[in-house]
Amino acid sequence: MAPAMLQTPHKDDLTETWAFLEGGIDSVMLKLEEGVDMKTYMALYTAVHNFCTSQKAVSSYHGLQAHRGAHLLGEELYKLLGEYLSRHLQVVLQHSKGHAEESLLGFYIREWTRFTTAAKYVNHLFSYLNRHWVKREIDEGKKNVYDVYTLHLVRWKDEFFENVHEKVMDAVLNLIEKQRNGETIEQSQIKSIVDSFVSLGLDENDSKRSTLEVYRQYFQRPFIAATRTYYENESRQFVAENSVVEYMKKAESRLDEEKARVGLYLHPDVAKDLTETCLDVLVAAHSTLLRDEFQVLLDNERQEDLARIYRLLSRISDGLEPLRSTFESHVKRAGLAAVAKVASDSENFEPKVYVDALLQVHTRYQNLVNDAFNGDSDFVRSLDNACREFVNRNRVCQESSTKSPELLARYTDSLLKKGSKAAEESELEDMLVQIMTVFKYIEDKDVYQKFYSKMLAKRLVHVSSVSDDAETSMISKLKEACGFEYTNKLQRMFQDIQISKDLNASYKDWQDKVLDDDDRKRLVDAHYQILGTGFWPLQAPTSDFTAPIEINRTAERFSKFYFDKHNGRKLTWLWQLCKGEVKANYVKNAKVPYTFQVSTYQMGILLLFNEADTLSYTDIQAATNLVPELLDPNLSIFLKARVLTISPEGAKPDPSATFSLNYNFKNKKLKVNLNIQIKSEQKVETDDTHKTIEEDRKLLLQSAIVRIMKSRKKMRHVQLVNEVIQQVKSRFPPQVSDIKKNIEALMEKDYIERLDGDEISYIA
Amino acid sequence: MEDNAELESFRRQWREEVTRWTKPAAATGSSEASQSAVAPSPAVAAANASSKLPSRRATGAHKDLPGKSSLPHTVTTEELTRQVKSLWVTHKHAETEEDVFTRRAQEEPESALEHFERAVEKEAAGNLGDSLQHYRKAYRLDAGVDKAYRNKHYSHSWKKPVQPALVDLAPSVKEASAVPTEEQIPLPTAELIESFAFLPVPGAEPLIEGDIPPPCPIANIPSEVLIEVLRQVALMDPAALARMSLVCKRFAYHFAHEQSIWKDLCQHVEFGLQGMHYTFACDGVGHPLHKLDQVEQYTPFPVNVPAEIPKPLSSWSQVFQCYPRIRFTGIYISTVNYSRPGEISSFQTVSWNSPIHIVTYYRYLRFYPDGSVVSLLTTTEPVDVVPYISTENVLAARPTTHKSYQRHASSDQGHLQGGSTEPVPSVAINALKHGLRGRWRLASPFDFADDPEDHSAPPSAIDKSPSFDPRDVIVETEGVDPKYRYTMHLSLRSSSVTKAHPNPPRNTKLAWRGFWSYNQMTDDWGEFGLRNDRPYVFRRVRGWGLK
Amino acid sequence: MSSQITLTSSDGVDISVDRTVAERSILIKNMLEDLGDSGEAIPIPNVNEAVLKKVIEWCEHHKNDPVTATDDDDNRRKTTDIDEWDQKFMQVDQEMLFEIILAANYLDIKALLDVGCKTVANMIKGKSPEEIRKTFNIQNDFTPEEEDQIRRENEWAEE
Repeated sequence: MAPAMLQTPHKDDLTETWAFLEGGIDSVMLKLEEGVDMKTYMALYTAVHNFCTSQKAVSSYHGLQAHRGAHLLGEELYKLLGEYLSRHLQVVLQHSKGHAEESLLGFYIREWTRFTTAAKYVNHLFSYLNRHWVKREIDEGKKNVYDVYTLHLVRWKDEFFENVHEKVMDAVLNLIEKQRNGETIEQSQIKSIVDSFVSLGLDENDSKRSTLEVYRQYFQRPFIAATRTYYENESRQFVAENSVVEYMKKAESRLDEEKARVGLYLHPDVAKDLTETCLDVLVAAHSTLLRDEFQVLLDNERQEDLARIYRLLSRISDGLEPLRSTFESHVKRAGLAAVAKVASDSENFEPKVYVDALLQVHTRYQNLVNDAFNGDSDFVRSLDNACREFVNRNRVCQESSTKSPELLARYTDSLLKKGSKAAEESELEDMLVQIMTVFKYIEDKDVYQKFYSKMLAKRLVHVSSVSDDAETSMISKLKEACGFEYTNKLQRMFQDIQISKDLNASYKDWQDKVLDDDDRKRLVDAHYQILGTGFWPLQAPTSDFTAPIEINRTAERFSKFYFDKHNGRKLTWLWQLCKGEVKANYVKNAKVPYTFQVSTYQMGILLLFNEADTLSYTDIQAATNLVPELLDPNLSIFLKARVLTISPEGAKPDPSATFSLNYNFKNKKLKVNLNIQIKSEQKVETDDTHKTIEEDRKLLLQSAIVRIMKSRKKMRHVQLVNEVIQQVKSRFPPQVSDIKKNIEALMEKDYIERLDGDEISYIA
Repeated sequence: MEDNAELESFRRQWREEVTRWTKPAAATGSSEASQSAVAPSPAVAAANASSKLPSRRATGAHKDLPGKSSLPHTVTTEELTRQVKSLWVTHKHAETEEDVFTRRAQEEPESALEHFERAVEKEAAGNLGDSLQHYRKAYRLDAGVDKAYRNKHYSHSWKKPVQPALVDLAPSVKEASAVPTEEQIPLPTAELIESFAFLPVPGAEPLIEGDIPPPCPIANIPSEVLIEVLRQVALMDPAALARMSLVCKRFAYHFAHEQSIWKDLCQHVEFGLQGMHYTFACDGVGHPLHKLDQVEQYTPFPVNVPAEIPKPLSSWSQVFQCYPRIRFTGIYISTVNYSRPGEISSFQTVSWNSPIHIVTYYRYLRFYPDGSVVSLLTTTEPVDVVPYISTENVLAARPTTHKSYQRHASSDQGHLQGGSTEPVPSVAINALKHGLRGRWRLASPFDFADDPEDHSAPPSAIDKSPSFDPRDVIVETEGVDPKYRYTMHLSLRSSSVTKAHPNPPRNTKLAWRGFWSYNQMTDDWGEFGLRNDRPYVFRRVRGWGLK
Repeated sequence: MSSQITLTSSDGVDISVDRTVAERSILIKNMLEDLGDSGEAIPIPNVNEAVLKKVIEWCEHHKNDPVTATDDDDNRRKTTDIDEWDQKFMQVDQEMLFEIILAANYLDIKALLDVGCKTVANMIKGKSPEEIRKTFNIQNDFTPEEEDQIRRENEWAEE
């Protein structure tokens, strides 16, 4: 450092002060690497301070010598500094003309680094100016006054940057294009340029804050434009030469690459624009092509490629919508085809085959949604729509949509009945879960409920459930899906069975107390179930029946016990559901007597033969009081099992026939089950169930109508219909015509009346 | 107006008596005596002078902010107050005025002039009864006493060229000073101050000529530091900055030009607008509300947002002057006189012998920055009670049955007895027994009428005044009976502009707009008549509102 | 952090001080940041020994104060209080008081500058203009007319 520099200038003299300062700034700006010593540093700071605080100011500008008075000093220094910087940068600009491309980038970065480092020094040296004069100017809202560091940046931008940014950006873009083409480049150069551009963004209103405006305008905009052109060309060419699947792979890797580029040397602000541009050029521009490929990929079950197409199209707006509808109709077609196959393979297919077919389609596409479509909720909805369609409206359901719930209920019964093939408990549970999957899609949920409760009743009455746990599990699943009301009766049925067990125990105790020895000898070992009429889907016997005397006595004794306990109740014996075992001690050649498992009706018939070996049809009918519709098939069972023989031989049971006990009865098993359900009964039962469903629906609709009208008093017809649909649709999809019919019916019954127009009013 | 009639009758009586006293002198043909007969008293002179001003314009002058209108009834009361006030502030305004409520060992006046001065003082304080006494004594001692008084107190105003009356109070300094004046034109104030810009702080001259001048280190500090000193002064007490502006020209320049100081003051909590409340910050007895959902309270120039000078104002000092602002550094006093005629039949001529009782009572309001307020109605004179008016003392003065309240409140406030350490005199205690605690807020620029808890006005009053006036102040206090609450609607007004006071303090008066009681049990509103009520006038009290 | 540096006063006296203490001065802090601590003495050309010692004494006492951000003006403006130690510290003759203020301004020690200004402000508040003049040896340079004119102009601010 020149020793002359150390001569502190006269504090009131601007010319002297500036000359001193300029020398100092020069050495900071041009040869900082030589270092600055503390004396110089302090002298420079002090010169600024002393000038700003001097009481008298001499200025060669105005030839003015006056007391500085109340004003803050510094404007002259600020101006001179600005002019100095402009001069310096003009020189830098001249030098820059000797450089191009990467060499220009190197030059820019070198000069930028040198300039900003110097700026930090100068800013500190002039900090007294910043603290007072500059601060005051800014506080008073003066434009174009900045702190000294910012002044450097402003000058850089105005004097240098404005003149070189295009050439610099051209070099940058060339470099990036080289990298996209696979060459290795010096990324740090671009990063430095980005940083410099970002630094030049100054907020006009608040010099302490920076904006990205300069960077956005001079870097981002040309960069994005170049990116767009580059990928437009590349993708056009690639698609022409490669398969769609190959193109998708290419597009994905380009997207990843550009994302990584942001992290490597760009400003994060560009990420959004860059990604959007790439998506626009690489995906949106080719979206038709990709969508057309979708059906092909579905048909070929190319899960990985389906996932890829999903990923790409999910990133552009409305990209997936067309895929969803394609997917939905594809699933629907698959479901319908599966059902059609079941129906055409065999006339009388097992419910299991049907349900499995539904489940298989569902499972396959659910997996696809999860694996390839990321569990996308919109695709889940499409899947649900498709499943609902093929579950409720397929070839099997052609006659009636209630076929699906019936089959599902039968399948459920087959699982829950003793002797089902699902041995393992966990396996059974899985199957119940699957049933619920199909159940979810069933529209006529009331139909399922009806069949289910019938079959449950049977399982309970006949104690043929596979396990209580399985039953409970199923009921709670239904409850979860449809609510308390849906399963209320099912649960009550369950309770009745439980209560009955307790009742039988206390009956036994009672018997022990009241029976005499004689009674005991003739005691029938009996079990009773008390079933609440309202909860069980059971009818009173269709036929009169005179129970055998043994049974009758037992029944009366129990009735006595029960009425003692519950005065005023009514018991109806459901003989058609009762069963028992009788021992055939009469059979010759049998070391151990056979046991016949029989219905009570059958028992009534068989026990008659205790008195006579041969009885006529009319004798039997008179003794049992059974109608022929029941008597005949049961006699047929005995004949078929050769418990009885008919005369004349080979005849069918009819009033002219007589029946004899077969003493030579033979069977492989000691226990012979004669209590076989009669085919015609089953058919009647199914028809009855369907009939009760119609009836129940009518009631449900009417009660919904009344309920709504009661609360609303007055309503328009259309509105009422809509409300009713809302209320019942969780049970079954109501027909508008049915609702109208029931509205009419209620009018006839004077629950509601029609007012003027299409308004309906409630009659209290 | 009845108010005027009352004062007029007082004046008439007095004039008559004066005439009687001066008649003998007039008979001698002394021009001086006749002169004093024509200009009977400063009070009347001032009244006459001001009545020459177009009164509409005078009231127009109160429009500090655009878009508001003065209520008709406040016009007369204000004129009245102005007449009265113009008489007394002058002779002492150069001094620090904080101390009026400290009872000095005030000597009883002896000379005519002293009596006259005391009379003027009493009249200004609103105590017409005492004032009358002193005027009478003064004229008895010297019939020409008013002239002596004028010579003493107003000499400068007629030794100097008379400036035409300022027609508009509009804050623009230029307008005020641009009025042309006759002979020896003083510089318009703005230019005058501008001319101070380049002056140094002048050091004092040596006591003995030729000696070394005493050191004046403050003259050596640069402006940027001097401004920081001024800023600290302003933030300790803005009035101290005003006094500082009279020290030397350089300080006067900074006072007028240092916008950042005025901006700081505007945003200051203790003196500025940050301390104003636009919603109630306290409960009914002045305990701070602890709102869980502490909503950002409205303030005109929040610190964290760049603030701009609102149009049409052009400087932060104008903002500080003009924006409605409650002061915490003193007391607001409303002095009320009413006369009660004695048992004299109506056809008898009114004379000095007819017993007319002039009753004087006072309403006091002390505002606190936390949003609480103390209200007191008493006949006790300011000098006896004002220094002791505080929340703590009001509570302490209450009968012991209410002591349970007290512990609550005294913990809120730091000091006892309004800054003075001597015990509260019994006369003050007796007055303070009737003090009521409450809360205050300025009119909110937002509508809070839906707030069911805000019983700040009867529904009828809200209907009647739909327009928002930023000068309105709402004060809610306890009632005398616990089941009542009192609600006062007041409105900030300024002292009138006079020749002697072209730039009086703004918003230092509180004019009445309405006064109600609210029955909390029955949800009924009752209105108090405002027949006798006078605007509150602000007076500083030493030590209040300062650290 | 307790490395020592040396400051040289304007009258050529070397004073050794903890770097952390010295760095209460933003000027010194910036310089050490820019140049690094070379071990050479730092010349303080505008402050004499007496004043510099006083300033260092203040910095020693306040070395553990949280460093307020440079533009946190609002915080320091909020309060006009001076803590007890500072009050005692500032009990110096007026010339020294203003010397300290000038040094704090030069060395860029905002908190010390504030304390100084507050101390001066305390000497002003509650005084009449004449009393203020007496306190600081200021001459009244108003003519009586000018004084009256200014008084009337500024009357609004007196309440």
